[in-house]
Amino acid sequence: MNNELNSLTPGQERVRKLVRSLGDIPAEPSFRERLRDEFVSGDIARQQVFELEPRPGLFGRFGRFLVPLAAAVAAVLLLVVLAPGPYWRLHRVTGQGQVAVDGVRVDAADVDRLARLIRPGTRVSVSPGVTLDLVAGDVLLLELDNGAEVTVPRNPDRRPGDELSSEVSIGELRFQTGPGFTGRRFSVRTPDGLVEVTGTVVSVVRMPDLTCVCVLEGEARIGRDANHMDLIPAGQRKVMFSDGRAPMISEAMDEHIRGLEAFLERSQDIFE
Amino acid sequence: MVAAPSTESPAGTTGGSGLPRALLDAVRRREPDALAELFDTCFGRVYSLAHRLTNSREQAEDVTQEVFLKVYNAADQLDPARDPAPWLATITWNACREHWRSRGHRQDRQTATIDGDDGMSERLVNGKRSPERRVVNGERQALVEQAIQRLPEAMRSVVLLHDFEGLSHAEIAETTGESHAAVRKRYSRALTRLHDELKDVLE
Repeated sequence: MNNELNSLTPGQERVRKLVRSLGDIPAEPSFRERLRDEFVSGDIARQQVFELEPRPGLFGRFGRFLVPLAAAVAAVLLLVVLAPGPYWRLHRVTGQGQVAVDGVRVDAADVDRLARLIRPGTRVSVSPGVTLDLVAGDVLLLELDNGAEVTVPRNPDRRPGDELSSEVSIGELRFQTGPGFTGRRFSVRTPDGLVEVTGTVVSVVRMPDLTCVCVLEGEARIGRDANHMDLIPAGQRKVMFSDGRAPMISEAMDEHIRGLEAFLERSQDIFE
Repeated sequence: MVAAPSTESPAGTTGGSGLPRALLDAVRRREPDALAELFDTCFGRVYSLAHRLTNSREQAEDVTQEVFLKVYNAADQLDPARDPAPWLATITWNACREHWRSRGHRQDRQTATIDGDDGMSERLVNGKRSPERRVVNGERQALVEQAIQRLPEAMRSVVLLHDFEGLSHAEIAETTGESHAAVRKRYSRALTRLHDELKDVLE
């Protein structure tokens, strides 16, 4: 702990004292008393058991309703699975410059035209200084920055285990999975390697001679191909080089972490 | 479940929470008087941490209930030689994380306001000139609370677990599954951001 304290600046030390001076937040007395009674008496655990265990005889009493009910549930599930998932939509464009969609150059301010042109499978590139956000419902958010050129993934569907993919040839792609991402996989390919995630906040920075992948939250599998993947946890990065040098795993760079934290903050209310 | 660190004290208590080992032995047997004392000692910390992490009274109540259910279910596994406070902080954080991942939390967050007290902003602005020190202190605390709420979740967690719950960076890293260095860096960045936001308070 001493090392932790010695590294603080005087300003940080003063803030730390302020935080430590905070008192408890009072709870509603009725909530506190009810929970206390349940905890002390053991009712807190008995209520859970009661809710989880089916009542004896339930199947016998209502058995004749169960078959049609199960059929109805199956039909609804089928409809849900077959129904189209969310579509990609242009959420935001900031900065001045141009955006190219499959080679067609559009002023970044012309968002209506961009929204019409950008489709799954199109190749979108932004000029330096332009940041472009694409969102697919509550599933996935992509942010193209620093001259990124990225292939838009296909629209997500409702199938369990749905797999989405994208490609980054240059620039920085940040992405964040949303609450609807559960059970899906997202992979990003660059000329130097592959990134696979099942739920996380990551940036993929492609430069002419390397790809750097930084993980802010969750974890990602990263490697030059599916047979050479490393699991990279939050706060770490992996750099893969074009010239065949061995990849490097280290702590994420402050610059990229700050970029991802700012991205997270900008996007915290995006998911529908 | 993350094991609590060894914080034994020679006086027969267990570190930060100050609970006697004999009491924790009785908690293991789920004796009502011991459970009541454990609840009275720990409820405030658990609820406050949950409230600050979720920024919602309703979610703080849900999380607190989940925590005490887990404590009750795992009572017989409690190590009476260890301070239960870090363990409680860990399961509180884990329960909050589940709420963050839920759709409900995202929706709540879209409509949550930082200042839930009508007229608080005005009072905070005028508060600097107030002669009542007690009022100024209260308002300072409110400003600090608001600044903490404005931190991204990951930063807020590390500040609260470290400075409010007393977990070391290594314990936080074990809880969150991150590297020690990543936690330390995030903590430093969080304090810097808080310092920038609270310059007026610190003057």
